[in-house]
Amino acid sequence: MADWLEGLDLEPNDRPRAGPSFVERARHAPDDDYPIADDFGRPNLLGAVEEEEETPFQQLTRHWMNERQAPDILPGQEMLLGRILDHVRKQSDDVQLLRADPDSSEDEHFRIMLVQTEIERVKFVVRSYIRTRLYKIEKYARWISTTAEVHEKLSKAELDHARRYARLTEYHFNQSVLQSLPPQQRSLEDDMAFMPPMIPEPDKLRPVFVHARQECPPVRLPDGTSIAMEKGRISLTPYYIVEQLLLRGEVELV
Amino acid sequence: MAAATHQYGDLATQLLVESRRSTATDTLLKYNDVLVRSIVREQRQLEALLQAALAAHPDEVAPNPLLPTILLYQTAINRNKRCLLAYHAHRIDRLKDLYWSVGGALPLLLSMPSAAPAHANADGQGNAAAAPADVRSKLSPHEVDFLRSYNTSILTLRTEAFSSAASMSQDDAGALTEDVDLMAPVVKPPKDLHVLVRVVRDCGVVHTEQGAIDFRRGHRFLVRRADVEHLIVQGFLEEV
Amino acid sequence: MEDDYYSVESILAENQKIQCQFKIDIPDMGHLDGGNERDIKALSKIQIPMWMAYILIYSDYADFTIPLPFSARVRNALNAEARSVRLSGLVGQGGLWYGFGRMIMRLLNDIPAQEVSDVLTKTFRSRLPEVIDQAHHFAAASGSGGGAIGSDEATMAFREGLDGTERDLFMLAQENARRTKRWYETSEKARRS
Repeated sequence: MADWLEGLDLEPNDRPRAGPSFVERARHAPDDDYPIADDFGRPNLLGAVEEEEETPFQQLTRHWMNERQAPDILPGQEMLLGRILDHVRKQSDDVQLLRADPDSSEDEHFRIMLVQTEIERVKFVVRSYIRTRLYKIEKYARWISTTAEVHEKLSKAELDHARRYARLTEYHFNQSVLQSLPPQQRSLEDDMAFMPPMIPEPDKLRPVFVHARQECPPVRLPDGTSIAMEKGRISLTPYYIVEQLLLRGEVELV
Repeated sequence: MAAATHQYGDLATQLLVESRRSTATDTLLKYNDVLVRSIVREQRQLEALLQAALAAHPDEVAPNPLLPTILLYQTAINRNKRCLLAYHAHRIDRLKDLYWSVGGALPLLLSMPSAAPAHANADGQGNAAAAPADVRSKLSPHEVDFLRSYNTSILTLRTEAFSSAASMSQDDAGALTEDVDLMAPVVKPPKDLHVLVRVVRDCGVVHTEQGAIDFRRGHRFLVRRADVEHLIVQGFLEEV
Repeated sequence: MEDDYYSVESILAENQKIQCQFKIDIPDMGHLDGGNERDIKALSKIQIPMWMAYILIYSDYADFTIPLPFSARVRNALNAEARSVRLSGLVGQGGLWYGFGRMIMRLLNDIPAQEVSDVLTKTFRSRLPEVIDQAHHFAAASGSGGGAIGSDEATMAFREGLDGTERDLFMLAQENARRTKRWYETSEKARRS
């Protein structure tokens, strides 16, 4: 599962990042680091069978990776985020208490440091996840604000921001350019031959690498052939081909 | 004829060549007000020509013999407009990059030298004469407005972002917003809890895990990364 | 390259010119030819940027000649051995041969468009492995200071003949190989210590 690392590659021209230890620890995060509420990790309601149950942080990591690779905006994981953050908060409080306790042993201090480090890493993923969504939300803000079906994929805060941002860019275009042009040229919704639309939408034809998390029904490719998506298989396909599988959690983007 | 000296779209191409250069050299160029205005002028001329051609044959029944000419005017208008908007959109993207690169510290962004973001001249104030122009002087007034409004929207988002998260009171949500710190860098995942920093510019007393620290220029401290991340991003501290 | 209304690169790419032969007179557009004529006369041949050519050809006001980079001669050469053709020589250093081809496709009808599409895909497929191979060799060589690889003429000629898109891929693959190596080395170290 070393491809997980690729996800950390946010900026193409940056120095190397985390060694494998983070990956290892993320994958095998000890359960007691994330005492799980009762309804956590139960078999997926939609029938997706997972052999190893994912910890919440593993789930978030998967959604983070998916979000980073998908051209479209995926359904936001608000509940998951809430629980993880809840837990982070609790852990931070515990750490504060333990640190303040003069009776804490050397050994405990070492453990505290480990926990703190993990907390920072969890927060990093949360932050990157939110920022990734934010990037797409701003890029497609004008499309989002006029397309009702997308709204349910966004949190209220995100949707509000998308609307504000759409208004903001339109205002900026008007102030900087359009208001100086003849009235016939001021629209931001022209439909012109031989030009892409003025309101860009996510490009679902974009190719993605997809990893089957379980046996999936075969998918039909644009050229008419179909491929079996047996468990563990990695394929390169246009996004729309695997969109439904992705939303059901049967595949993940890598 | 107005177009005698250049072809339709030539000015607009010049404008976008600037955008390309800005990307390639990773610098923010000064807003090219003069060129933008020239293109706007070209747009007005084209519109006048277009309207004149339409008016020349008001007969609705017969096809206008000037139709090919009209289509070309319209095509040039569309092209110029696309270039104008793309230029402004490209600048907005760059401004947002700058904004995030300093952790959303807008006043700092506007006053910092535009050449080397986040690492303002290490000598603190330095000599003002030699200092490169600040970011603000490269922006159009509308771009400054944009950044202000954008900043406001981001701050609102930051406050709202976690308030709907489950099982959390409003207060907790607010605290979490602080905790996760949306504005912190997302380029590199944290590796070490602590970081050794050198103070580049005085930033006064800051509360950290180890207690209050007075960050004075020239001194070094080993501190928890999360406590000072924003100061590093904003160029007050430097990792050693 | 993303075909987005606001994409700077996509807009600049459409400045690529092609030769059009006009079928009709177009009043008041003589300046497009750079001369002093008032009108464009039927049968005149003028270099027109792509962004303007679309509407002229679509409206059947003009025909265009398949540009040299996609001429029969070049296609034959590509068919014979795609790797021996210098694409950069056809579209200029940093020029986008594939991008140009895609624009040409938009001017053609089904069958000729499909033909161009086939040439593009086939060429890309037969050149890609060499692009990636060389990128990996380069990344490896630059690390150990060795300059032996890539110095032979054929490899060098190929590398200089990359079009803009291939060049980007080359850089990406090279960077990727470097990073993988670095990652491997640092994780090895961590494991041993």
